[in-house]
Amino acid sequence: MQIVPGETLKYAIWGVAVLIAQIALSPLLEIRGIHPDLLLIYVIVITFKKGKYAGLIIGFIAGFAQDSLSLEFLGVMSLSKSTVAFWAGKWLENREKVVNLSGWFVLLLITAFGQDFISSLFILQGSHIGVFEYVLRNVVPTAVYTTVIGSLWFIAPFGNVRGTAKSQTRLKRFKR
Amino acid sequence: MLDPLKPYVPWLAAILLALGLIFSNDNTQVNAIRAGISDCIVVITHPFRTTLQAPRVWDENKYLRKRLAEMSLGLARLGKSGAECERLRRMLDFKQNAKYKLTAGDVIARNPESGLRSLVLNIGYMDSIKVNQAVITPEGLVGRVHRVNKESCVVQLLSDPNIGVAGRLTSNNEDGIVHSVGSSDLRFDGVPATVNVEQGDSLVTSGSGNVFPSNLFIGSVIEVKRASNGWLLDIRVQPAVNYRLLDELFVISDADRTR
Repeated sequence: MQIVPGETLKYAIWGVAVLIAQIALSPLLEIRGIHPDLLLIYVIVITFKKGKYAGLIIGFIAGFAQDSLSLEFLGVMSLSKSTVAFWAGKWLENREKVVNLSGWFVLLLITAFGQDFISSLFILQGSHIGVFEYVLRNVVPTAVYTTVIGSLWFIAPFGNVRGTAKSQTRLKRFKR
Repeated sequence: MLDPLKPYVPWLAAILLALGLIFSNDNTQVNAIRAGISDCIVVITHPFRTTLQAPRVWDENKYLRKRLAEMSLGLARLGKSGAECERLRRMLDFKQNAKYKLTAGDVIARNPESGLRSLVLNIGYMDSIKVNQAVITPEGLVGRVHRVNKESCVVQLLSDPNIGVAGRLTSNNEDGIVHSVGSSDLRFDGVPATVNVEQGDSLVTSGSGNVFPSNLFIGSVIEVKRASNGWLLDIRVQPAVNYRLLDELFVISDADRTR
C-alpha cells in the first residue's frame, strides 16, 4: 500500500464530508428509525479503490469517529468496520477488481450485514434483547437500506471516476 | 512458515487494538480522547446540521405559529368561559341567598331607540311574571316589569325618565324619589337641604309605593348640591348596574311573601 500525501488528504476530506453527511443527513434519511451507514459505503469505496489495507485503516478511523459520537463501547465500530473492509478487500482481490452492479450490491449487503452483526454481538451484551430479534429488526433493514444507497452511488454520474468498479468494467469492455 | 499469515497481521493488529479500546472504555484517558473527538465532530458538523435542518425548522416554526394562534383562541375562549362561570356562580349564590323568590331570565332584546330604556327578557306569564315586579341583578336594582307576554316580558329600566322609584339613603334613612335625568346617572329628589348627605352614601329602595321591595340597592351618591329653589338637595346617584352590560336578570316574583 503506497501512501500518496495528496491523495490521502483528498480521501480525508471526503471522509469528513461523509461523516458530516452521516450526522447531518441521518434525520432526513431516516425510515422508521433505520439509517443508512454512509461511512460504510465510503469505507468500501476506499477499499475498492485502494485495497484492503487502506480499507482497514479507514474503516478503523471511521468506526472510531462513529463510536465517539455514540453511546456504544469505543472500538466496537472500529472492529466491525475494519474487519468487513479488510475481508471485502480480500474478496475484491480475488475478483480482479471487476465488479458489476449486482456484484457491488452483494458486496455492500454482506459487508453492511457483517458489520452490524459483529457490532450487535457487543452491543447486546447484558441486554434482554435476543440477537435474532435484533438482527431481524435492525441489522437486516439497515443493511438493505445501506446497500440501496450504496448502489445509487454505483450508478450515479459522480461514481464514474477512474478506479471505480463502474469505470473498470467499462475499461475491460473497451479492451475486448 | 508464517508467510501465509503475513497479510492478516494488520487485520489482527486492528482487532487487538479495537478490543483494547473496548476493554478500556472506563479508562479516563480513553474517555477524554473520545470526548475530544466527539466535541470536534460536533463543532465541525454543527453548521451543516443547522443548514440542513433549516427547512424542517421552518416547517416546525410554521406549525408552532399555527398552534400558538389556536391556543390563543382557545385561551381566550377559556377565559371567557371562566368569567361566565364566575358570573353565573355569583348569580346562583345570590339567588340561593336572596330572601325573595327569584325567576331568572336572559336578555333577548334591547330597545332600538337611542338611550337605553327597556329590555326584553325570555320569561313571561308562563313563568309567573307579572307587571310591576322588580327586576334586579346581584349588583342592584335594574327596573320593573312593564309588560308581560306569554314567554317574554319588557323591563322598564331605571334609566327611563318615566320611571320613579321610592328610595332611601342608608346613612340617614331620608326618603325621596329616584329617577333618570336622561344621562347614565340618576337623580335623587325630595331630600331637604338640611339633611347631611355625602358622596358615597348608599341609596336603596324604601318599599313605599308597593312596587319595589325595600332595601334593594340602587346606587351611590356621587354629587350633592343645593337645588335652585334652596329648600331641597340636588343629589346625583351613580346606579349600581351598568344597563348596557346586562345579560341575565332576576325578577322578584314573590315579594309579598317576604316583605
